[in-house]
Amino acid sequence: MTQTGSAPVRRLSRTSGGAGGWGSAQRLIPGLGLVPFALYVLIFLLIPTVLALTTGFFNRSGAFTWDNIAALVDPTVLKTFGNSLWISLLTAALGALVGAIVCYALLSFSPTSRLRASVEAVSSVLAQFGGVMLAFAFIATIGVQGLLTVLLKDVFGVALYPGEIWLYQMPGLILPYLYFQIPLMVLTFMPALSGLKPAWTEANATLGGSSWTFWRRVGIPVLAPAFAGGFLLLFANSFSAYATAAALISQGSQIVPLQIRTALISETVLGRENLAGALALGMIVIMIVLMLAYSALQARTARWQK
Amino acid sequence: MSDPTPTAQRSGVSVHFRAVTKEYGAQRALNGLDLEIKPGEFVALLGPSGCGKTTALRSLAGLESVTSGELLIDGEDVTRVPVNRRDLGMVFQSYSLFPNLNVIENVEFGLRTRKVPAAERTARAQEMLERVGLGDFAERYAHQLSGGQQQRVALARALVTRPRVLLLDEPLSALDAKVRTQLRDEIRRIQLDLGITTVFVTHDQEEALAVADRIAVMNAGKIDQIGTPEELYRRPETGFVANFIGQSTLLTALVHEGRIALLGREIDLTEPLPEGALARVRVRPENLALESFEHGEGEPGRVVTSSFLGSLRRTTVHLDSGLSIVVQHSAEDTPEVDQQVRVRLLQDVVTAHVD
Repeated sequence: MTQTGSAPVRRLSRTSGGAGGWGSAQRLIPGLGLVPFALYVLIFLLIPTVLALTTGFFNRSGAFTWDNIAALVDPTVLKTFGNSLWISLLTAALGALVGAIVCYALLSFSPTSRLRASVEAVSSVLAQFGGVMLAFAFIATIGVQGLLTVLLKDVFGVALYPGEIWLYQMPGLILPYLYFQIPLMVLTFMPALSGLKPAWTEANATLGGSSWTFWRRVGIPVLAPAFAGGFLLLFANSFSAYATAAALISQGSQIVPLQIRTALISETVLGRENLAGALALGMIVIMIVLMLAYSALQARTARWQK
Repeated sequence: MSDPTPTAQRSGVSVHFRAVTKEYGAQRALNGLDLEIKPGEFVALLGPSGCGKTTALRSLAGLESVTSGELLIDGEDVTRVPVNRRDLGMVFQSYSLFPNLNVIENVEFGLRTRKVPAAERTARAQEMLERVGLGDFAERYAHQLSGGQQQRVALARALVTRPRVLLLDEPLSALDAKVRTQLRDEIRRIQLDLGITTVFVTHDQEEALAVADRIAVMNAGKIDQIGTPEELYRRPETGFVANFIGQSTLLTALVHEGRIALLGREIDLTEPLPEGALARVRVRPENLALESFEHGEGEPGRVVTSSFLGSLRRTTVHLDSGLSIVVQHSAEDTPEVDQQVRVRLLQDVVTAHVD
């Protein structure tokens, strides 16, 4: 009787200990597949970020200094941050708005329809189509001697550049940036919009609500986190964009990434390489502030989200 | 929209479908549907998938526009009235609670659209939550509730506005069996309490039989037969209804001198049929008896399967004549598979049809 009663206990104890150790090891094995990616992130993202941040607090000889951080409030640097902020906010807002409208329009088509599938496929390509190629496409199309510029002037007598050549200045970044911002919003927002259940709109209607009632009380609140997330992604995308601006803007460093380049390589500001670190720190601070705002919104919606 | 009855619960109203047709391209979902529902009546639209029952309900709600025909609620033609002005309450199969609103906000939703003052709104919503047994769940969100609880909230939300008609679109389909039975009975109790005219769409005959005053069995976009559960069960007018309501086996026999031979017995007919005609009779499992092969009466056969149903058993017998037939009997009799038995008809008189 005693043997019968105690045997299962011993077996259970031995089995659970062994299975637990081996079980944990087994669970870790698939995780090994992440090692190359983790190393890549460590070497090419985390270490450079730490270096960029810390260099802002040191001078060329390696001594600690507040000079670089103090330079962030220099009127020129502040103006550059201002430029970066407004171009990023503007293109993120326009991109998010237009992208959301495109998603709404696509919603009336079946997910398997050819049009919807085509727009989503094209969006996934165009969202990655930034940089020098994009700048060239705009220069070739609406540059001073661009195809459309010449066509408008010769056929309709319309001058695309009656005064300044805005394409190569700050306002000239808006159109090219929207070119990749809108598709990016379509990609990120479409799944959320598709998640709106038709039964919610029907329930709203049977309860006496209008279309506006639905959007005000259900649709917009439900979509707000996804829209804000998309907006934040677009802002970050624009805020850190470098190649498109570098190819288009030939005069001056009007946005922060171009200012960082100048701080690193310009001969006229030689000796201010570590300012680049301070500028990067400034960018990170701005992104942190935005992410905190996003987290606050997420916290508000978390109570009803699974 | 103002609340039409701010203080008193109104009694039910009549609903008429008049020759309602709904076409989706070449496909006709409703084929001249005629149905009259009396005030306060609970009518179930029953039928297989694609028979048009949900289309009929959605047409009445205004969620589908009809191709032709008229829909009348309390004598008022609502065929072209927008859904949000029909003053109906609807419960959907998929719960459809608004996820960003808590339980009481969901229930208050229809009262807000009717601009009911805040204090009255909250009081009525709370009262309706108590009625569905969820008085303590007001602050919870949909994802914190079980399926049955979500559907109770949806019911409270649909009823709190005191709608003219309550529409239930397969509200129990997504629930497990026990909750389904509980909620089914609660829906009926509340409906009787409020006296509200109710249209209930279901493909589950047991649900329809349990709660409805009348059942409309739909087939191919129109009603095959409408009647009380007892009428449909006992006197099905078409083969489709007989087949759909309850379980039955179709037997055929030649009419001879006003009688037919069924399962080894001579049986009288309730209504006379021509001599020599091939009579068709539907026999329900409870009208048959399973008897001993050696000492019993009836047609011989072998047991194919036997299912335990609590106090009863249902046994399928493959008769020697080649027909399979289902017999309901006491659970105390436990026939074995392949055992030789006899099947006897318990009725002395049957209703037969000739095609």
